[in-house]
Amino acid sequence: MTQALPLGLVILAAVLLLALTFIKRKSPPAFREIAALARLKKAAGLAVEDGTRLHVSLGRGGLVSPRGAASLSALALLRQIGEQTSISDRPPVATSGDPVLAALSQDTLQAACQSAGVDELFQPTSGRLGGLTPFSYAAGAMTVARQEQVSTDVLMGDFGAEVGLLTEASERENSTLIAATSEPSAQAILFASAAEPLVGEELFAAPAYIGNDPAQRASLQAQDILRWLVILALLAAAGMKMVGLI
Amino acid sequence: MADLLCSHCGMPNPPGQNVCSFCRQPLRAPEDSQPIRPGELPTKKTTAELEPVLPDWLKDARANARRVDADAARAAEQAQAAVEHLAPQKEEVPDLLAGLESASREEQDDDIPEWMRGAAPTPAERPAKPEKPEQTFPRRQEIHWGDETKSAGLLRSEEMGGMATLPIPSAPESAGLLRLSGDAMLPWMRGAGDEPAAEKDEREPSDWLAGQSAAPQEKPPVSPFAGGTFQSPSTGELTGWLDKVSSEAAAPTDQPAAESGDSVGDWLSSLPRGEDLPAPAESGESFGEDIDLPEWMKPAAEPPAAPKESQGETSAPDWISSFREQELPAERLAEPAPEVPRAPAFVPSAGLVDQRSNPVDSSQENELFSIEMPDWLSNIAPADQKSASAGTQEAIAPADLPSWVQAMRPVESVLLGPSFTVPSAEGPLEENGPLAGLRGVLPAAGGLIQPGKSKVQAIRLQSSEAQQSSAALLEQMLAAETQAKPLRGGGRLVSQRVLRWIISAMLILLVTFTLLGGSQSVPLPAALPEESNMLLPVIDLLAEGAPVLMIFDYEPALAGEMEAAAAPFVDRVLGLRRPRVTILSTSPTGAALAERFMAATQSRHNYRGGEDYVNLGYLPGGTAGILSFAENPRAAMPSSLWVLAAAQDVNRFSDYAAVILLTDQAETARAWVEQTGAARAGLPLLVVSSAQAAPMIQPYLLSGQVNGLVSGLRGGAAFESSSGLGSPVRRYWDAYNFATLFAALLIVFGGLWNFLAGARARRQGLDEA
Amino acid sequence: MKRSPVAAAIAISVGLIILLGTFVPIPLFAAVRLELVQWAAILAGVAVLVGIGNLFSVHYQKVRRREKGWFYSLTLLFAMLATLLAGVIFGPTGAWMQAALETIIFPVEASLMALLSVTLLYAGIRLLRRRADWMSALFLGTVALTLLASVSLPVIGEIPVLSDWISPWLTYGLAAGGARGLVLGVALGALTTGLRALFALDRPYGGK
Repeated sequence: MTQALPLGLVILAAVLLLALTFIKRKSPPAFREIAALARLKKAAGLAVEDGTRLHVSLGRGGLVSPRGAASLSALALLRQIGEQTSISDRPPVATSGDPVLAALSQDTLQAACQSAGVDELFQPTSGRLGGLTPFSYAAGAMTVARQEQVSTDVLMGDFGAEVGLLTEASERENSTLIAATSEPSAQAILFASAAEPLVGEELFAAPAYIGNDPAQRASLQAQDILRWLVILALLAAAGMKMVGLI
Repeated sequence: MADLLCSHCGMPNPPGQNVCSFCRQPLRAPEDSQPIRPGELPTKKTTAELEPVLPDWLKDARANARRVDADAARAAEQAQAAVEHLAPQKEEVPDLLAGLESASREEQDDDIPEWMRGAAPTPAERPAKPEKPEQTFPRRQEIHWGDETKSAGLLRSEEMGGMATLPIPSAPESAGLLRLSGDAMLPWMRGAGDEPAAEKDEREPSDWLAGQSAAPQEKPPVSPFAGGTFQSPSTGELTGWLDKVSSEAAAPTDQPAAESGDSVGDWLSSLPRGEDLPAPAESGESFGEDIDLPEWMKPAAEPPAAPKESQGETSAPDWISSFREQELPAERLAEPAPEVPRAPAFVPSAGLVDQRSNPVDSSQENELFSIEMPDWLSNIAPADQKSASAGTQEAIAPADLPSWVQAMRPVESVLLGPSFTVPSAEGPLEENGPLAGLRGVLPAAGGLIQPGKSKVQAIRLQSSEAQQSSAALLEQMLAAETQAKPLRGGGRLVSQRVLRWIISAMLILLVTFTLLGGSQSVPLPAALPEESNMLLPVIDLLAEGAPVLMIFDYEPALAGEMEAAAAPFVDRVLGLRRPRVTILSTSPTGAALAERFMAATQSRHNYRGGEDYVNLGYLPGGTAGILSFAENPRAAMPSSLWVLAAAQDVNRFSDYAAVILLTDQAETARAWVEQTGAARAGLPLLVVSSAQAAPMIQPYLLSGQVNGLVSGLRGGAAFESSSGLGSPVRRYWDAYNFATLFAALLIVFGGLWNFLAGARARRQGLDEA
Repeated sequence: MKRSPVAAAIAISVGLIILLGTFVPIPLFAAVRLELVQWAAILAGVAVLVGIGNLFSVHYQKVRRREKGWFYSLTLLFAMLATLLAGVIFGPTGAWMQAALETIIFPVEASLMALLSVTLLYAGIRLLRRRADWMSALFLGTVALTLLASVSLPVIGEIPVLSDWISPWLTYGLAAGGARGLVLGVALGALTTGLRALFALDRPYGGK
């Protein structure tokens, strides 16, 4: 029983994802408006126009941990941002608190430059390891935010309490801040310090909103369907528990 | 010696001549005709060979001329016969035509156009070419109108003053070209060549145009416009008509001349005004009667008169007759002529109107020529116009183009040999669409062109959403450039920094004074929390000297809280059961933090490394490393320390008696719980966490996956209170509580203050707006 | 670098094996899964070295180009090399490493943590000025209640009612429930993200 339930959930999620990805739709799915992501789109264009830099911080969630999902989503967003802004005078810089994530961020930015046709503009130092501990990573990311003409700070990934230092540095530089994290305690900090924080699973919705990948959109739809199923299951289980059925 | 008859114009030419003096056509068939390729220098061509590139209006004019009725043709033949009769007098070729005769003999770089060159004798009889004096472009006063040479109308260069000195290249003489009509000769000039100059008197117009073959008669330049009088040329056919015009119109024209007050000669002043302009059709017929014009100047529609030669007049000027339309060879006329520009609108309508254009109204024509136009111009036969508008597809005879015109032609597109015609289009004739009438049109692929009305295409700019957003973004940026941005007040920045400094200073002072003062006024928690109570039975069940896994998964930043929270509990465990401890960490700094913890808080137990505990160090891989260690500890952490007494009997994860996890992150606790669940097999998991992670670990505690929990400084204080042993908690407890109280009060009152200040600022902003 | 089908095949197959090994109780799957997990742990350890190398190169470039703040980069490089040597020579638990931890790492990180606390306090105070809505008011009220509930006052100790009833209900009821909801949503997002990687719909390992 303990294995059947998660297995069934995985199978259901897989079926939904594949079906929603490959089924041709007459019109793209409509998602609710998220102000922070709309600002992100605008900020990317502004950065290219006025020659400033985008700082994308991916957090410290390793891919071999449960927090790696947030890092994967952040990498997908980094790819889209990189494709849009790689031609800028100051290409984006990605910082992270995990070595694997730092290497992947380099590779992602390189792929983005190749996709945009500007291979020669890629710099290996655009993907950096800020530090191996959370606060040393925050210190490294703060340095980038203050010294490299950053107009927009994008904090997407797995962050802890150190995200408060990053938001404070962004506010000092009067930069635009768009932040999202999967850690609840960090979300509380973002709610207090960021103008438009992304709460909960909106981190995983960012790539679907910014890009046009059908797989991303299908993933978001599958999440919505599964969420409603879980809500119904929780309410049903609570009701059954109350009446003594279980 | 028999003369050579030109096959085009029919005029006789000296036998040794290669090019017709009249129409500039080769007298002999071209031996070879090669198309001119790009890069090749243009070669001389005769004008008649350039027929396809003539303008439409000229072609039409030529076609009209060709359609002269049989009488005109017969008149031409008669004129030709008369010319032949006068062939012996060819030696006395008028000056006007002398240049044509000598065109084949003279050098190509002669800058005098051949058709304008003065009369030149035949090669045998022409005297030594006089050295041409330097001549300039003639002024009107220098034109010799009194040349009495009875010639065919050739104009001698000398007589023409400096006009012949213009550096005009001669026409190419290469054979094998399509013979085209020559210069843009008006019909009245063209037709004149068809008829002998029968009606002539001593003042025939041609006389003044005729070249002096024998002896040029130099006369003082006389301006025909001097004093408003016109001195009729004494010689030449052409002068007669001018004399007649002046004589007939002398009386009435005096007045107009006086009225105009200009220096226009009588012959111009005698021109009828607009109201006097007779109908072209009518005057065309009476023109020849009233004014004794040479035949070649009379309209082509005019009925053939008696041979002009009977009156002793000279024949029509050969150079003019050369502009008669020639009948092209049949084979050359098989293909339609290439497209040429249409006749300009100002050209007199008779004979020059494009077939496809509306025929010029006679009234418009009269209007055009109503002022200062001679009768002979205004009386252009409308019959020609009508015949022009009839439309024809007949071939037109080639005529000569001046050499300078020929030199400007694009060679390859025009001069492609005797077989050149407009590329014949094979295939069916296109009947529909814009290409109707053409051949060789590519057929439309089936279904490619759908008949009917084409799909209406939106003319609005098609742009995607991304493009529109980008455009809107650019528009906003441009609009923002013109707006003055209020500078961020320096006072506001300063106030924010001051507020930060004040908060920091207050906190630092509070904590420092409390620590330095050694305050212990705040009591410790009296009882253990429920989650901490769950730890006590577990500790009691531990065997003495049992191996225990202790995991240090917290960061140096939270080491103060973690050490204070974990110290009482670990101290209790070590004190009661003195287990053999295996230290592990999934954080790079965990090993060092573990050593610090053991040295700082557990020193009283005198735990020695290697004997009482082993520090395995950093376990890489995060969750994967945890799973790997849980599956096989020795394989996941190969080390020589496994042989030490503290860990020598641990081969599997389940060999440990308990697992104590020290973490500041709920995720780390969850990873250990989930990954070691199967391998623990009931092994107790005791967690010491920071206050921020405790709420997230609570569900695992409630579900039994975690057997006990010490949460933050309060949990450590409670443990210390229950054990009665001294720990760092007592030192921090008062400062912690005072700082927490201060923070809570600051948030309450500071938030309220900022709420009111913000509301006031918004209200002021609304009022100002 | 073009997308390599071999890399995608390896990623997909390894993911399937790990997944099957977790849910299907077949010894073969379990053994292969364990081996692959060990490989992942080894690669993660090597990745730490790669990350350190990246850190070194970034700051080295900064020093070489004399960019802004190059002196701090030089300090970092010096400290990195010194710590590396100390760790290699004396071991991670040696006296030199302990001295570096005690005198440099621990104070620096503790200071950053203290700075964070001041920052969060300031942000909390300014929240209602920046965003005056009922959510911000509720947030601040919850924070204040939680702080007050965890405070022990002199003489009286814990504040009654507040620390006995309100704080537990607030902390382990509302806050924990909300946090669980967030974690559930994050877990579903992680599930679909992992499945996207499993089906090669999303390849984080680069390529066009």
